[in-house]
Amino acid sequence: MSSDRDRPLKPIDFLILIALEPQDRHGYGVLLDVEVLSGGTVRLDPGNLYRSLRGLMRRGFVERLDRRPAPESEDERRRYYRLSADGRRVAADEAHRMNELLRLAPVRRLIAEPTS
Amino acid sequence: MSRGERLYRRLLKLYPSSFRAEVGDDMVELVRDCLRGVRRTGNRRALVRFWTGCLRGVLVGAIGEWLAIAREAFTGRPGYSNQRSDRIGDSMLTTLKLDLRFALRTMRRQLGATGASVLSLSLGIGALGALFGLADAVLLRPLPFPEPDRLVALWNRYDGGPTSLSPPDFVDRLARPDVLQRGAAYEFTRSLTFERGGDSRRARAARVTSAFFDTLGVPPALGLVRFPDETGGEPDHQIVLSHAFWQRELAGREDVLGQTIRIEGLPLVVTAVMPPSFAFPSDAELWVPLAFSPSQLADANRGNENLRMVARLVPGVTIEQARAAMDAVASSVIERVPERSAYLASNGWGSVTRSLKEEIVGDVRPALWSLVAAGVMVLSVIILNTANLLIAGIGARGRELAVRRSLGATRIRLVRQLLTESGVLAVLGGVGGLWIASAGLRVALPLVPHQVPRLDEVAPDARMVLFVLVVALGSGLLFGTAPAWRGAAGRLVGGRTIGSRGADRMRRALVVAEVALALVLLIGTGLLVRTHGHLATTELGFETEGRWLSRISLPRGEFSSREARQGFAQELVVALEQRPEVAAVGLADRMPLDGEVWTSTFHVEGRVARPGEKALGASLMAVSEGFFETLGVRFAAGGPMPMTEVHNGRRLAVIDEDTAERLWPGDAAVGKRIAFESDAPPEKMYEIVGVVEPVRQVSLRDAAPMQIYLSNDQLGVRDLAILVRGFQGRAVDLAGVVRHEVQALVPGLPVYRVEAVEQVITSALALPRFHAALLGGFAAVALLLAAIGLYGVLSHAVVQRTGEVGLRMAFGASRSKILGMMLREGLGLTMVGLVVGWSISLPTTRLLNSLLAGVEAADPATYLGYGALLAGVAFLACMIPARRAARLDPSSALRAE
Repeated sequence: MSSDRDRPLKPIDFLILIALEPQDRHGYGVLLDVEVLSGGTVRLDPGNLYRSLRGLMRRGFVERLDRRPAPESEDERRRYYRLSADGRRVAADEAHRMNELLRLAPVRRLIAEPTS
Repeated sequence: MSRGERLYRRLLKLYPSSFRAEVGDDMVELVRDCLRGVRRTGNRRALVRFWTGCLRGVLVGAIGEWLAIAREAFTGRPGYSNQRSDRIGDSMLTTLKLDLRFALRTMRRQLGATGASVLSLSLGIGALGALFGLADAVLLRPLPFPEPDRLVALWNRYDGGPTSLSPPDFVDRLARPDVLQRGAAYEFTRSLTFERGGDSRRARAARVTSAFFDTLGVPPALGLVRFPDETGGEPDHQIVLSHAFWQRELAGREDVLGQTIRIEGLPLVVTAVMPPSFAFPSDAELWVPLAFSPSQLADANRGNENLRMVARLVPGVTIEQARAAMDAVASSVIERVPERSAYLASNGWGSVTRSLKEEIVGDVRPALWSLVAAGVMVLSVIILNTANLLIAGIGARGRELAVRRSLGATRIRLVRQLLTESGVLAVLGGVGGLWIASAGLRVALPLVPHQVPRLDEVAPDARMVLFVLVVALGSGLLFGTAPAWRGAAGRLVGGRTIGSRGADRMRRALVVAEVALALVLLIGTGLLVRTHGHLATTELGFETEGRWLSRISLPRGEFSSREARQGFAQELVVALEQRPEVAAVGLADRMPLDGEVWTSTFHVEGRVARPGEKALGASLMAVSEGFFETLGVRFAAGGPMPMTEVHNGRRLAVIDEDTAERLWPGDAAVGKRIAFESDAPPEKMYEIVGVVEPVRQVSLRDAAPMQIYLSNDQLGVRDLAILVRGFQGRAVDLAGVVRHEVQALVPGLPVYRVEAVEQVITSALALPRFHAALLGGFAAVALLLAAIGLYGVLSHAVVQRTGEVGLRMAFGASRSKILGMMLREGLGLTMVGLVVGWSISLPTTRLLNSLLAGVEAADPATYLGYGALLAGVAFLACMIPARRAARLDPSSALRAE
């Protein structure tokens, strides 16, 4: 595995991978889902979305599909993107890593213990 | 595609093409979806937020992608999303962002000073940009013909000056196809009458030979030009229209081809319409065929020189080679035509070959470049002034900067931040300058005298925009670097800032330079104003006040005979003289100082030209008996040519004093006889009946060559200038009177270009006035800025020396002594500036030489006078701070330390 693929994911990359997890999406779908996932705090613009997408594709985490009609876009054809097996694994690793980190936080009283 | 998508697609050009190819289309589609989403919310602020986000994303993304490509090329490793270098790009951006934010905040705090700087920079950059746009379009850009470098203008020459060609001269030149691929002759444009809907109207027409349009390389926009061969004798009845004429007079109708227009009574068939950009000769609206009969092409017709010629060189032939070939043609004529060889050889006859561009724009080149140079000087003064203000502004923040430096900021870091401020100034000045340049060019273009050629090609374009931007950024570097470097030099030592002495020295140097440049501009202006004044008060030899000028042109059909034209002239004069409003009326073939001059050689009775002696040449005018009285031309001897005597068959002439003095020095000219053919029989000689004072005929600058007036009652010319004078103190519509009487004689004959005679002089003065006015405006700006600079420097000095002044006063120095001390400081700087300015002016104003008249480039009065003016203004500028120093209260001044 090349060194590129070992590097940790940037938050935006991670959010995009998560957005693609349940289903294939086109660009606008990713954009909307990232906004929903982040609770409205991350608002992507076309420029940075496609820079990230292109990087993820080059690293083999995301696959590009053919164009097909997009129901939300008045059935115009759109390019769809799909999470690859590698991508799914990297995202899972990242989630795991963050989960580990998160568990450490309450120990040092950085944040409160989850109430649930 | 919506406007938003098109805009975004344009923004995408900022990315590397590889990036665009991969995801560009998808991005545009995404923008479409986003815009739809935003529109559904119907929220304007969301739309604004979306676009600012897009803009930021594209800018940051594009920079990042380019950096990635650069890195990939450099390291050989794929550079996408490499986090480390992203951080470098980000940090550069962050610093820039910080600097920008800080600069804007600083500038907002000094809104007045910043506004003044931006405004003066905009004006300076804009004025220079507009002048560059003008000079570029007129002087630099190639003529609007295909391969314009191959086009040449060909002339004859007598003793230096270019003169027109005769038909045989034209054919001689065409006989060198090894040099000239094609060539065409054409005549000066003439104002012709044409009929439209029962109306008589006028248009400018040029007669041109068959290859005219081919030579210039411009095909018609509509139809075909098939003018008959130029040696084919009688021209046939075709006409080619300019695009403007077609639109204006025929409403741009598509079926214009094949239609007939009656011009000068002749039915002419429209065969072609030229494209809108075609204007050659510059004022032509119509083109009609010109062809020569065998007798016109005979050697006997060589004296009839009234053609201009344009030719296209064979590819690869240089203008020098063409010149050599044309000179050879001219020498062969001298050898081949014995009856003219002595005359031609003794008059320095030859040929002139020059590029068509030189021909068209050569005359205005010095004037336009000198204006651009003046624009550069004004901008330099503005730059110096801005630098001065910046140093002052930075000086006021000296403590802040010194503290930052002592706390560990590097000098480079501070310089960078200060440079960001001047960069913002430069960008704002550039944007303002761009606006002023393009608006100014559009607004001021109608004010440029029509003597400047190619004005229809002047428009703000990409070259001007590029020029303005380069000038703006260059200015920013010039006025920003030194102040920033100096300003960042201060350090904090023992709680006080040191290192500001250098800044003071620099400000003084800048003020000296401002004063010097302002003086150069003032002196240049002064010389041009003197020139204008000299020309405006030139002894014209005639009066202008209360005289009106109208022009008519007698149509061919009815007035094809000379008798008919003579009859008309006579009746018109009689009719006008009977009108009670008219005090005097005169006719002439042209108005002095307006239109083409008619010249001829002549001989003096009883005087045989020695071999090698130059033939006598004079300009001729056909005038009526009342012409001299109407224009107020005074007689030194004799009187006008009486109409009755001329009608009795006497040939009479009037000459001017200069001519009389040259021909018969010390002897009375009246009664002597001249002729226009050698060995003329006595009945073909002209007897001189009067000598008048010289009249400026051709230009205000130069006296006419020898001048002979002949009687129009004898010549009966077709184009007439009608001059009338009214009674003093009575405002009458004399032009209406003339029109009424003309049309009473020939119904519907158009009377055109009606103007006061003063107007003729005004347009002859238009170019010098334009030049002097523009330069004067520049000089005023420079003078004001130099004064502001002096004021600023001296005010600063007063503040700095407050303690010293208090001390001096405490020790008994009087207020006037303090005043003198401060004034000396300011006037000392002024004097240095004046000396530098004078020494720059000497070589600089010499460049104006060809534009001056009646004044030397190194005119001492102008040099001293404008130096004194500048010193006076400087004195006023210094007086204000100096008085402030003298009014200081000694005890509080002492405490100021």
